[in-house]
Amino acid sequence: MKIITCIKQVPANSTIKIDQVTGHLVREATPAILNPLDKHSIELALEIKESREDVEVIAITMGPDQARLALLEALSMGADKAILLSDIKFAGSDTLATSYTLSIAIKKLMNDDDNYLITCGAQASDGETGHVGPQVAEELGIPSITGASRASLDGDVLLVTRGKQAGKLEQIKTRLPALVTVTKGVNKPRLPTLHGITHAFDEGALLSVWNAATIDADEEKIGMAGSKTKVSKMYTPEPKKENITLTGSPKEIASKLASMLKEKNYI
Amino acid sequence: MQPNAKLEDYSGVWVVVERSESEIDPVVLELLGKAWDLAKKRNTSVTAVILGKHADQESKKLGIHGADNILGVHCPDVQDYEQEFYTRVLTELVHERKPEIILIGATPQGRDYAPRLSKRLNTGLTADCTGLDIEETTGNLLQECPTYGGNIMAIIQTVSSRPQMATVARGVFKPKIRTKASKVKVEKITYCFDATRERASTVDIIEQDGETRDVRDAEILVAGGRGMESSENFGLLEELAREIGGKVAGTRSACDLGWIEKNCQVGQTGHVVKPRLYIACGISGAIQHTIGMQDSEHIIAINKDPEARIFSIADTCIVADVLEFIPAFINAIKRFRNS
Amino acid sequence: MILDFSHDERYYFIKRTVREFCEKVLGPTAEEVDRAQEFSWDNAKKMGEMGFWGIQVAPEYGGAGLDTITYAMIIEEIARISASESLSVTVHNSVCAYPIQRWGTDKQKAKYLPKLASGEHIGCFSLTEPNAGSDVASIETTAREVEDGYVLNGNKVFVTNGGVGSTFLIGAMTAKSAGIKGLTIFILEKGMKGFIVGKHENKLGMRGSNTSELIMNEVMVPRENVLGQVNGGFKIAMETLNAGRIGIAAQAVGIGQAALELSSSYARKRKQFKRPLTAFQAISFNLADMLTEVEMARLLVQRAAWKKDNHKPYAKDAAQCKLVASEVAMKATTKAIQIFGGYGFIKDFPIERFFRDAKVTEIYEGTSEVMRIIIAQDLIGKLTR
Repeated sequence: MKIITCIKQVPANSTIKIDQVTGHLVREATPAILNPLDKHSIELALEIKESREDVEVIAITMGPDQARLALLEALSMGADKAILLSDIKFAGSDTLATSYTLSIAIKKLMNDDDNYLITCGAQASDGETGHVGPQVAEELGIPSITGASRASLDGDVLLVTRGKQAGKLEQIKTRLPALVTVTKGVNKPRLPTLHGITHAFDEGALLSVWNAATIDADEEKIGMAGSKTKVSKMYTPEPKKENITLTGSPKEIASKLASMLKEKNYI
Repeated sequence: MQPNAKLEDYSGVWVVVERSESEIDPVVLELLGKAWDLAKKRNTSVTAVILGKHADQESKKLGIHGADNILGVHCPDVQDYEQEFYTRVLTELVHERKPEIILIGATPQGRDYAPRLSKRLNTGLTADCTGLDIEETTGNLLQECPTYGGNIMAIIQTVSSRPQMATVARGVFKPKIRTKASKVKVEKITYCFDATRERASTVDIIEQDGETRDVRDAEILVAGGRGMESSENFGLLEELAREIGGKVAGTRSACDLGWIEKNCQVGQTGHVVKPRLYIACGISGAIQHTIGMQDSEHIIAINKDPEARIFSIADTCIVADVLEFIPAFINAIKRFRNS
Repeated sequence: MILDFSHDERYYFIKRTVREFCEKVLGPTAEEVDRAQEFSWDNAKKMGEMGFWGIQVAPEYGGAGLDTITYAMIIEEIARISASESLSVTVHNSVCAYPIQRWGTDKQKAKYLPKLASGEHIGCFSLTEPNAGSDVASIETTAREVEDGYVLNGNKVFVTNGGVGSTFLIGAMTAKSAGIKGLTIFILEKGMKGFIVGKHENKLGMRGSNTSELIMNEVMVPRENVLGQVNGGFKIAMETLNAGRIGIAAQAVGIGQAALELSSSYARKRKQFKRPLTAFQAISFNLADMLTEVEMARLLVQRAAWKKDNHKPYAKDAAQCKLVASEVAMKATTKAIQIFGGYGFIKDFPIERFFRDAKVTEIYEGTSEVMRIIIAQDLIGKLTR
């Protein structure tokens, strides 16, 4: 069977800035990293691979050429193959267009074989939507389970535990093919070893680059044309407010504080 | 959006109802308040859509909070939430009735089906909005949402398709109460759902064991320092943490004195933490400690010394005797939770 | 124009990965490892999984086969978090695994390198004796030739990894009267009869690395355990120490880098007279000097490493980078403590540990004085030619 792990390269959050004049994102100086939750998604795929005989792990991403690095990271961790979907025609994709692109690449990869699992991080640290996973599943017509805090595969049955509401967990199962998105709690991702890194970087054949023509994409559904949402403006949020001091008797302050916490939804 | 439909064919604001336990989830009432504002600007009405059973008193509650219409979809075969049921029923209802805007809670459940629904409807969805408004010139929904870990805000529009879908987390909007509640129109329909597709099904619900969490992962931390005076008094912090759903942490002195385990230490030689809420109790704020927690989203500091350094990094400052204050605080939380 | 200061993607990716490992795994235990003065087998095992014990060992023997520039960067990253553990690693790699790979027979390589590369065996190298430090010719350990090999007698001191090692390279005199031309390097194994680990030294710094005395009392070493030629040990020893100096220099750069980062971050957060310390020029100029000197030392390390990788003579370069980097580490940690003030003097902050660790980089693998001798000899040699 194949486990396909959909990953994304994201800018390191803390350094992101807006150009105050143009209002555009200043990206050049920003180091790009593998989306942190995707490491957990890769780890899940690798753990399943190690527990069975028949698994091939394939990392896939859509992005510019530099997104190769995210795939090399997945290969360094132990993925068997990697596919970069890269084409100027994919630029400007929203989650709908991205999920279309990923899912037709997955269809090509699977070639009518139904024996597969897709793993994704629950969300990317840049857009933070969590849409692409479930939308890929929808496009492929397979079930999706989001936000897993535990996941295992028994035969072709995927068993997932996830938070339901405060203090409650829910166990869900489904049969393959299926898609699961994972949260931080699902595992501890391994670090690539020096051997893993040299293997990934020195074996060029592990990584393929596919463009719109390779996956026979419908040009109406990819990139800007296939996107239904547009970002109309970006700006830096107001800085944190000055601190406040609560006064009164302990009882009065306690009430004020509790009411403030309730208002802010901490309780 | 259906191939032959036009943008103008769509009108009305929908809010999809979700329950936590048997109650209506608070996010639904918050969304109704916002939906009401948006509907006024678009000169249209608010519909609360309930999938599954609903009781009559719920209609009243939804009405008071902003719903003009209630659309109840009953399905004999489905008891609780199910991804495919929600996606399929809502798709068909949207095709038939063409709402302009759909608001969904950004809860685990909402996050589960909303993306699939948007894909099936082939329309835009914006996640975790913190502000919603109408652009006067176009009538488009202006969806404000934080990106890049909240470092940047974006305004997103769904320009070429309808409905415009958005999810919103709990606590973002405030619920509103209608003073003169007009009559709520209730419509009930029955839907037969046969599961022809492979479904993901819930097999069990488990009560979570809160003790397994680590201070590094806790969303709320109640931390104590030397000002707690004794190991027994750390019991107060435990009680507060239980009440508020957090974990207890300590400064190096508190850990060295054995008031709390070493692995709960926050600071230079302990863990660096970034919870949503950090309550510093009897902590002076030495730099060794603050290095480990100053990036917390919200810091509440309680100390009897008004000059304590901790106040210079706190968001909310309370000058009080921590041992006197915490019991009062625990009582106040209990009161507010029940109100 | 060939000079190029950039590295490839793989280099940066290794750097980031190693940094993450060091911060997550070695960071939380560094203080305790120093306090307890014990080699952490737990960390050693984790470093083994990462491949740190076979950084330059050829892949056919289970190593990562990386170049010296990358090797130096890895040592620097480990030292930046836990200098004493970088010592265990660099000694194992550059003065045990490297000479075996370079001068060993195929049989020796196949026998020793895989276990060294995985970290199952920790390696050591020892010349130093109570009466022979910088002066190698006065080594007193003897190797008496017998029918099947050699019998070794003598004492070695200050042996890094001595108490935790399994594979030892030991310098002994096979022809005492010939001085340095009578030195031979032997491969000894833990558990050989008469080969005993003596006292574990209580040190000022580098406390997480084991430093022990080794005692050889009629140790029978088979002939096949001679590394290189009999009486050819001096050349091996000197070249090994050249390689070792790059590792020690990289370690010193890591210590300097840690001092720079710790003190600049502290100076930014610490306020006095209502201003952060960085607003005072007396502080910011010191930080500027630290940054410049650390980068200068790093460039010298990279040049020596590049020369070694490109098979050019690098003895002078290794001595220069080691001389400069160790002095920079000492200066940077001293300045850093001054910036921390009283907080720098207590053990709540790790800066005092780096200060203690820095000192020995001016001493071992050849003292700063010996480095100057080597550099001067190179200079004067060229002048007289």
